Amino acid sequence: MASWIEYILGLVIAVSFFIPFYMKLQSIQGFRVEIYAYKVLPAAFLTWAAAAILIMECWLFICFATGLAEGWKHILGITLLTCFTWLTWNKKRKTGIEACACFGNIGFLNRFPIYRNIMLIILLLIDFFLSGQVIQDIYLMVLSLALVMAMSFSIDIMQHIGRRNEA
Amino acid sequence: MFNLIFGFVIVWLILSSAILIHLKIKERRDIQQQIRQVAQTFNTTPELVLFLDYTSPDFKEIDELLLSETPVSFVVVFRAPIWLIEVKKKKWVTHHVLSNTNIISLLDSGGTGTKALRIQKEKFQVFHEIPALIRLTALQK
Repeated sequence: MASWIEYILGLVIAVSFFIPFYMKLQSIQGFRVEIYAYKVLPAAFLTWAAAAILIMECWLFICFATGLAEGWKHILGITLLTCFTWLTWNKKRKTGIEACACFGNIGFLNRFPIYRNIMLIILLLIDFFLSGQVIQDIYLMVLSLALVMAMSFSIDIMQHIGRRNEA
Repeated sequence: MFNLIFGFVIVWLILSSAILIHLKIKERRDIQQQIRQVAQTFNTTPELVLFLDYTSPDFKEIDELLLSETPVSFVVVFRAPIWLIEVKKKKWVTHHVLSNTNIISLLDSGGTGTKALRIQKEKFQVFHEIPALIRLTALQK
């Protein structure tokens, strides 16, 4: 039972790293400008920062879906989310605007990025303390990766349909 | 049993990516339609188009940047009351202001529809962080 909860938790976390990853992948130029908006990096570093964040998010998606890199992925995930939360909070303090485009067009995930990130950090902590078994089976790993992608695309599709009904 | 689940997930993945690709293509086609309409009103395809909604949370910041002397020139498709459009037409001297009534509107993230397009030949890129885009583009000119 505990291992099922752990498996599902891993998938949920993997989805929450995969969606922002492929959203940003569709518009690297847009992502560079978004990083610039936080006013912490000079223009020359934007491409490097964008590439580094994309690689980390992709790695986290793979590790949480497959159960690899126990411990390390939690440390990186929590560090990354803490940085994002601090940057968002900092920007909100300066401009008064909290909403970000970090999840692309998926509006409901963009409305309260600070609370969303804190929720995610809590999920990561729960997952860290639950962690025990590692998936050994390669087929199960491939299945999990496909499942995470299918779930993410479905969320994106539902968001598209919801937006069309609003319009 | 495992094979059955595996097959189901793969079919789900293929179907969802096909639907998503279809939706993305449609979205791009809608934006291209907008670009064509702007080009028609403006007689030529501009390099930078700004779709601006006066209710957008970053409107004040964008307004200040449009007032200042930047080397960046936009065609601004402005959604606002007519009097405000007339006022801003006079004030944003380095930009060309159009009323949004001639252009079909599309709802984007956040719902206000504020976005910028950078158009290069047949391709375009969409931006949502307008103040940062203006500053970055000005820096690179």
